[in-house]
Order: sequence, then C-alpha cells, then structure tokens
Amino acid sequence: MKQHSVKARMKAVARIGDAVLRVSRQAWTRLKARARLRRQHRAKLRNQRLKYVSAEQLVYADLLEAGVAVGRIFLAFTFFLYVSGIVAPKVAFSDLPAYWSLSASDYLQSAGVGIGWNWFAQVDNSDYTNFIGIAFLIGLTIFCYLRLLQFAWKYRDSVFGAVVALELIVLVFAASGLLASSH
Amino acid sequence: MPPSMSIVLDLTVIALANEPAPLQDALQAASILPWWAWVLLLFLVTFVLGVIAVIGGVGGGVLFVPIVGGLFPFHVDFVRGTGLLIALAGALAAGPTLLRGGMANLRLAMPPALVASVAAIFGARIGLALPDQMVQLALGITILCVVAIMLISRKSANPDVPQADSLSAALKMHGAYHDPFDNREVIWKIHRTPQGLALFVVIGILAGMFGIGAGWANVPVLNLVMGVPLKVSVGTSSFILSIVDSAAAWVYLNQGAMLAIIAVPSVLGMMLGSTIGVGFLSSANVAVIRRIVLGLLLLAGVRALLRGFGM
Repeated sequence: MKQHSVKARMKAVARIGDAVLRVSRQAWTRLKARARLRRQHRAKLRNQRLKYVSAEQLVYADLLEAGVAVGRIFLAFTFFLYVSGIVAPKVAFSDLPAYWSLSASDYLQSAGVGIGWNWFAQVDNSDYTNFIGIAFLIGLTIFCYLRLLQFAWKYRDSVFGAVVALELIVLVFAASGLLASSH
Repeated sequence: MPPSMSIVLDLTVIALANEPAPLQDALQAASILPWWAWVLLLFLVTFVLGVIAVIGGVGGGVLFVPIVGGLFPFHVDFVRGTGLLIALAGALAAGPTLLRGGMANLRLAMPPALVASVAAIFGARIGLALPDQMVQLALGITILCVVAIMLISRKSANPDVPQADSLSAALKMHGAYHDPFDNREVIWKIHRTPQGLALFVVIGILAGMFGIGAGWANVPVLNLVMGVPLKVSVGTSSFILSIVDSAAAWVYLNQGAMLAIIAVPSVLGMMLGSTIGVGFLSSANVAVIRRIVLGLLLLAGVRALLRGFGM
C-alpha cells in the first residue's frame, strides 16, 4: 500500500516536471519567435530607411544615440557624486556665490586652475569630475566623424572624405586647448 | 541680509583674505540667497524654459542666455558656456531620430557645419575676449534681431529649385524623404550654396560669441536661401547645431567658462522641460506660447541692451 503511494507520488512529480518542461519549451519557443519577428521588423525598417537615408547616416545615428546615453549616465552620476558630497569639490559650495560672479579668467586664477586641459588634473575634485561627462558629450561628434572616414574610404569618395577630414581637423584643434589663452 | 548669512560671508572673507582682488570684490557683492537656492531656482527656470522652448519652436540656448544672464548672478561667461551646452545637448539628443527618419541630411549638413564651426571657434574667442558691457550690448542687439527675424521671416514648405548649383551637386547636397502627412515622396535639391555658406559664417560667429545656438538663423538660411524643404531644414538645422556648438563649446571649456553647478542643473532642467513640453504640444495653444517666447526674448534683449549701456 505504502509502495503504491510512493509510486503514485513519483508519477505525479514526473507529470508535473513534464508539464513544467513543456510550458518552458513553449515559452522559450514563443520568446525566440518574438525576437525573430522583432529582428525582421527592425531589418525591414532599416531597409525602408535605406531607401531615403544613406548607410553612413544610419551608422552615425546609432553611434550618436549610444554616445548620448553614455554621456547622460556619466553626467547624472558625476553630478550626484558632486552634490551628495561623497567626493570633495575644489571650490566649496559656500564659496560658489563668490566664484560664479567672476569672469572665466578671474575664476581660473582664483580657483588656481590653469587654462586648456589643465582641468583634467583636477578631476579628483567632484566639481571637475563632472567635466568628464561634459567633455564626453562635447567630443561625441569627433568619434562620429571618425566613423564617417571609414565610409569615405570605402566609397572612394574624395570630396566627402575631404569634408570629413577638414571637420575633424577643426574639432580636434578646438578640443586641443591650443586656442586657450589667459586674457 | 540675514545675520547668519552675513556671518558666513564675513568668515569666508577672512578665510580668503589672501585671495586675488576680483574674488574679494565678488565676495562683497555675493548674493543674499544661499547657493542651493540659486541652483534650485536655475533648475526650475530651465525646466519652464524647456517646456516653452519646445512648444514655441525655438532652441533652449536662445532663451537661456539672455534670460538667465539677466536674472541670475552668474557671470555672462558661464551663462554663455552653459547656453552652448544646452543647445548641444538638445541637438545631440534629437540627432539620431532626425537622421534615421531622413529629416536631417548628413551630406547637406556637413559643408555648412564645417564653415560655421570654424567661424564659431573665432566667435567664441572674440566673445571671451570682449569686455562684459560690450558683450551685453551685442547680445541685446542680436536678441532683438532674432525677434525681428522670427516675426518677419516667412517659411516655404517646399521651395521651388529649378536647378541645383554646381557646388551643391559636387558635394552631393540633395536627397529624398517620405512625408507621412501627405503620404508622398519628396525629392529635393538645393541652389545658392555659396551664398548660404557665407551666411553660415555669420551664424557660426554669433553662435560662438553668445552661446545661443543658432536654429533661429539656420532654418531661414537653409529654407529660404538654399531652397531646402522646411522639414529637412528644421531637422538638418538641429544636426548642424550639434557640430557647430561642439566646436565652440571646446573653447569655452578650455577657457574655464563652464561651472558644473550651473551647467548640469541647466542641462537636466532643460531636458526634462523639453520632454514634458512635447507632451503638451498637441494640446497647448502654440500661437500664444510663441507670443510669450517673443515677449520674453524682447524683454531679455532690452535688458541686455540696457546693461550694455551700463544702466
């Protein structure tokens, strides 16, 4: 009698196990089908867009979107570090009203920070840690244009390549800090 | 001034007794509000500006610089640096959607962006070198010109371009897009490219000098001078801003004209305001909001002009 009850229980457990397995397989198959449909939909959209939009434009858009997302997270995180006081700032919060009414050159002189990329030496201070996110967002266009250079090479399009290269030179020159000067 | 604030300021003056003279002068004139109140106020103001900018169809930078420059105790250098960052952040965020939808065109944007970014670097250098009063005076005049342009400029949905000029053909500045409103394909080409590029030099200088973005000028030049369809003009204008403002913003960053405590809350406030403003776009009375925007710009322009005259 007892043996019979154990066997029945084992059978019941096996049935439940089979049912769970079956449901899991079905769910997995459905998930895979949905993912395939999503992929197909994205590919269809991309093909439709390619009718009006060039491949390099789509790549630029993808790169820009990813960069903006990273930049925003950076900006929010570093600002939290700053205002929460977890990391000490270069200029104390109580002194800010005096500093923000100074001109940029007077501010740099008073805070003891140099021009150009000298701010990078201060990134261990939380007010300057924010500059990493800011510089990342400002510099995003340089990365996007670098990607465009590959397309110019692929298409052997010298006019397009020249415009991309010239813009890169301008942006890198601006970013270099060579233009910075104390008034 | 409350006694507690006065004591804090006195202590700060003593602590910073060996600091350079401009800082001591600034301490004497330090505001009556605590720092966090200004930051909170800045966030709220930029949030409201973000809402009305998106409904009024103007960029955030053009509202931010004259209004915040006139109402807040921040130096105009930091306001201009932040204005550029606001315009840049908005343009970067809108870029992917505009590019994918064909409303912004990469080949069309690149030549104007190139000439305008070179000009914006010079503009930024000039702006940072000029005395404050002259900057305020020029800013006031520019803002009043922006109001005039917004009032008088007419737009053309699909300008008639009989033949593309040779420069635009060489640079492949043409394209097509699907207009879902009319459910038709619009094929476009442009003309008067050299004149358009020359105007972008002026736009670049103004954008760099005042940190006001330049969508208000980009769209009329693309649409009315170069013959770009209105929708592509608006989208491409925003994309051009993302390149031009990044060139000028480097100059401001490297020159120390950015403060995190001003820049980050402003960018976040404007982004949040724009996001919420888009939700009101279908229900808000756009004509009324546009009048409010023009009124605000007019007041801010006059105020900047008066400050420029030392009043």
